[in-house]
Amino acid sequence: MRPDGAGSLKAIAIGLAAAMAAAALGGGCAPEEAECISTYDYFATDVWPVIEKSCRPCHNPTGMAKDTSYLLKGSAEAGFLDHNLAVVTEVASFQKDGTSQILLKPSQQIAHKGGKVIEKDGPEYKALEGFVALVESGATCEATPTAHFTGVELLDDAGTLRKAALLLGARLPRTSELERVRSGGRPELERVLTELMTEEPFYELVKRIYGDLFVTDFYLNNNGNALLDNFEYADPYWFESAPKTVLDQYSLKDASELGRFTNIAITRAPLELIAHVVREGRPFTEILTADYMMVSPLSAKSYGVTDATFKNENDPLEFAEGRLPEVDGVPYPHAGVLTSHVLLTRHGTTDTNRNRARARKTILWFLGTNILLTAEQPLDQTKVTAINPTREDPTCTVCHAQVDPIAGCFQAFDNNGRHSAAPTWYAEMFPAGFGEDALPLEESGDGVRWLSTRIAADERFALGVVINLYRGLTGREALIAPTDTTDPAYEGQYRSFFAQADTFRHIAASFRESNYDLRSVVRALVLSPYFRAKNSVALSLTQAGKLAEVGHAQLLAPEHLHDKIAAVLGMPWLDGGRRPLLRSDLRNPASLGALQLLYGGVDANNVTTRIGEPNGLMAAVAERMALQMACRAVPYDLTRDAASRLLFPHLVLDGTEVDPGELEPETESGLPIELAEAGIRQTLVHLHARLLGVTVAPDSPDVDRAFKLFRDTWREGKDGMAAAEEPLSADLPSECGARADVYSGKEFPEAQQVTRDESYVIRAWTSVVSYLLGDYNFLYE
Amino acid sequence: MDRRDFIKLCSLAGLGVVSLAAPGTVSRARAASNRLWVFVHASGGWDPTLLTDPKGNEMNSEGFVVNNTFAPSEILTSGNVSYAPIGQNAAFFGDAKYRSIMTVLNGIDCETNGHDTGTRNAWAGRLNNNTPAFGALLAAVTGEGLPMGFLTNGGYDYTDGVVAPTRLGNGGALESLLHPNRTNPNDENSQLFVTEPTLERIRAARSERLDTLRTAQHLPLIENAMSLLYTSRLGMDDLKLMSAELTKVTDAFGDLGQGMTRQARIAVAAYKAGLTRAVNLTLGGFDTHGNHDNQHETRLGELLTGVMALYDCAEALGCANELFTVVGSDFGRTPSYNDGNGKDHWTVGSMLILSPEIPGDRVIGATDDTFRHKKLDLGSLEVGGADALKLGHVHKWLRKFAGIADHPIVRRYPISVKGELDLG
Repeated sequence: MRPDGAGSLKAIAIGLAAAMAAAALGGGCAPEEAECISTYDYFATDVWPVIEKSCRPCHNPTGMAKDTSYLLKGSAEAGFLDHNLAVVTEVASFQKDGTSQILLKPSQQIAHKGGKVIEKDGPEYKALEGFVALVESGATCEATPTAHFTGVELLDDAGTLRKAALLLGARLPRTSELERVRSGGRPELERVLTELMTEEPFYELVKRIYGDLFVTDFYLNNNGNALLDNFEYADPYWFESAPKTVLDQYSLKDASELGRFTNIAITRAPLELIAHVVREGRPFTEILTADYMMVSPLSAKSYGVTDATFKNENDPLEFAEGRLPEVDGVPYPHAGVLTSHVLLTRHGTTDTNRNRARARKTILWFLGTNILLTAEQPLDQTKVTAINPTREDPTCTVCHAQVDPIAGCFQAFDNNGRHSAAPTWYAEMFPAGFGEDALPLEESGDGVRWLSTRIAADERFALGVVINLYRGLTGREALIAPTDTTDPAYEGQYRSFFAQADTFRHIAASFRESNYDLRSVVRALVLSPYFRAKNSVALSLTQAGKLAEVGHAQLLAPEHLHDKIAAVLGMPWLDGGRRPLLRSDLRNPASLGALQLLYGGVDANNVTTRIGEPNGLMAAVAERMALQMACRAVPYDLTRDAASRLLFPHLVLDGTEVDPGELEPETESGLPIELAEAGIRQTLVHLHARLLGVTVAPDSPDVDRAFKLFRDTWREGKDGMAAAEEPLSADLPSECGARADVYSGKEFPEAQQVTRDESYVIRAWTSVVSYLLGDYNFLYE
Repeated sequence: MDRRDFIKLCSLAGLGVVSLAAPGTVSRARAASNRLWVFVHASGGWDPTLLTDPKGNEMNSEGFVVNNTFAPSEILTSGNVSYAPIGQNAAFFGDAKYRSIMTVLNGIDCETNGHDTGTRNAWAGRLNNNTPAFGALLAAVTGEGLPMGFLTNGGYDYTDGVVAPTRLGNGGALESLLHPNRTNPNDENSQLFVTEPTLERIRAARSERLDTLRTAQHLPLIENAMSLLYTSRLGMDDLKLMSAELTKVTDAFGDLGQGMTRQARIAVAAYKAGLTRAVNLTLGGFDTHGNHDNQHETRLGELLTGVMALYDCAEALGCANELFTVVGSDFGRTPSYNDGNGKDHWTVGSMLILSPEIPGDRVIGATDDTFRHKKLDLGSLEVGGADALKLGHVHKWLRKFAGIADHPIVRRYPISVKGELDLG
């Protein structure tokens, strides 16, 4: 049941009397009632706008009511609804003469230092009244995020699997997997998704998601070894004097290459730690609490780490757990990624910043909150007169009260990330700590480890992970609640925010219940409408506002597009030097693909935010890819034997096996060849499924369009080849002819090579494949 | 559906990916607005007292020294503009070419000392999250689907989806994209992947399918993505026009240069090719919490050198009078030094505007000896009124001056600051 919130965000015509009656029945979810709403939902949609406008201006940690116990969090803070619901529920439980204080105080029916902020019996009052009734009723309606997405059309399970396989596994789903999902339904889909997340591309994806946050790949090109220069136990440049036997051991050619691989391992240590935790199936909180770091056989020598155990001592890029040596009998206080050298240095500090930047990033990355958004109100620093403004002036403490205690936990790390067992700190700052807890003095040298266990135990940690993965999987930022209630778009924006916040809240809860199994978050996001929605019924403006963030319309990131091209065509997009154009080489991650940045990618240095909307230049990248890869992939596929074809599997037409690469649509005299057309259409159905993931019928408009393209190109080519002047050549463009294995470079026997196109059918197929490679459904997922 | 219909449809749907203005080719788009908007961002928070609001090394009324490295008597003036006697300042401010088109805004109340919010306020005029950069709004409204309507090298380039930003990076691989159908992009006699008629056929088929998909789509997010893909392709063929302009640049200067100079030269070439309307140029390193004077002098020198390179290049390509340049930063730096000889964040800043379209050689706004902003009268622009000069005022005026203030896309992001500034 939904109580009456007559003046609230969304008035529902259920009278308060009915609500009270239902409450009296002890239920609150009478089946005949039109709508059953949880306390959380009602609070979020009807009460919070009132509370934010009328109460929070004073009832916040720096407001006039900061010394009361009724302190509310701002909407920029992760999990603010849960926190505020708990606070308001508690206040609502206090009564005077049978009326709740949450009604009496703001309407000043009893003393209220903030004065009268709402009118008794006004719409805000009624919204609060409804809330009190709901709380008193003991209503047990469960919040159901799916209710937010009425009218949304979702991908089916097979479609979801294809999309997920490309994103998580950098491959198409296997036939066996599709069959399992078709027969086993949702439970089987979940199992297949989980299996996908045990493959190496998934760990690469997780590293990329956190790499975009940490931007530590900066050191791939900027000498991460140098970060260790001032560590007494370290030997950062050990490789410079390494004997040849060492080079041979790792199959590397010289000291420079040895140094490069050492640097990769040093730079990638925090990201490898994250991947390691996931790979080993450990609680994801271990990324903060791990009492080890990740080292390779090479970086271990730089660090002076001796306790790492490798499966293959000769693999320069294998990572294993290791611990830094003790200094003066004091062990290094490993605390997962938080004590990583590269992370501490990439996000360094200064004498006046005093670890605040590190604290801000910690809150952003692991507690899901951009603390700067809480300080969007105008600040006039010239009017600040307090001697110690970051502790005394409300315009400063709005952030510093949260940031400075966490900054204090980093006190044992200096500007360059070096650790000191006995640090000194600044008495004028808020004391080191986290939330209500103060960092014990005797643990000041171990503050980050102390902090990490508390963050790991904080409910916001799970929400922060959901937000990070949502960004990584969809390319979109999590929504922040709108605050301008006078904005005509407010209701739609708030509904959209709430739908997402509610979904994330449930995913975060499941994540905690799973003992922080990261795969549970990915699985839940993949199964959510944010990943699966593909369309909806026609929407009103209000509905469109509510569903503004629903659906997955992500222009594939350059790395993803690279993976998809390779998965679908069976060959990657490489330049003339066989280097990937859209991603770095895995064994040389410092070297970006030549078109990676132009296609909206990042370099962890000057460019740290991805472009998710295509511009003219990116359209040109996609155009070139579609032309070049179609030109290469079509002949190449025709070199494959019938059983191995990816694009042009043989067909059986009228009882005869036919190669689509030989199907001409018309006779010499221009008459249609019906059987050939049927075969071409059958192949077009296959190409639509393989390249675009869509199911089309042979006589559908999609296939009609593609067939027309095929036929018109073929006609153009036949006419061109027969032209008296400047006839088109029967040779394929020289760079498109298939002469050798794309991976090994080994030349095919001459009979297998495909370099000529006497019938112009290959080039007709090239036009079709190019058309499909540039299609929305190929470039987006 | 033709381009005109599509643009109208998008606008009616509030998709905001293209302009309401009449559609047309690149040359028609160029004719509609002969102005290149350039936004130069000194990233990290610059120190106006080392630029156009110098104080010198005398102890002020609060007992602090604002500038260690020069005396008040050494402060230089050029026309009405005073500037600190350091680095490249004299080469820039002392040159009448720049001074005559320059408006200095001093004593701006930046309203924040946080980098993210400060940068947003500087280039969007609002503290609120999710506000597009002014350059993005310009490109969305006047860019008519240009292939790189909003060209950015960093700084504040958030667009909120109203237009797609374009990054050129080092521009090294650009050639392959100017002629995507050539197997060898650098050879005009190169083989083609497909014949030109085939390419046209492919594109037409793609457009038809995309239009079909978009028409059947109801979810705003997906519909908008489809619209953005469509508009991104509208001017793709025009990219090749940039080849000739880049050649002119290298003919004039030998190469494209490095750093901000490179950013500036590519921007001018893109503008001359009719491909862009607004450009972000960026230089980092201004967040000098330590060793302030040395680092800042170097950085300011690089910044001004980059601005001068912008004008040199625009002169070489014959469009210097079409530049409208705004130079600014996150906020200012404190009036005194910290223990590390650094300066921390301060909510008072400055901004430079260079344009032949508005009066030049003038300074508006001021600060006192403690580097606190003085109020002024927004009507007369004289110091001594009751108004604090804010970035919101600047942007309200910029929107009006650019003629986009009343456009539906722009009205989605209202600037709430009270009072009007008129610089023009």
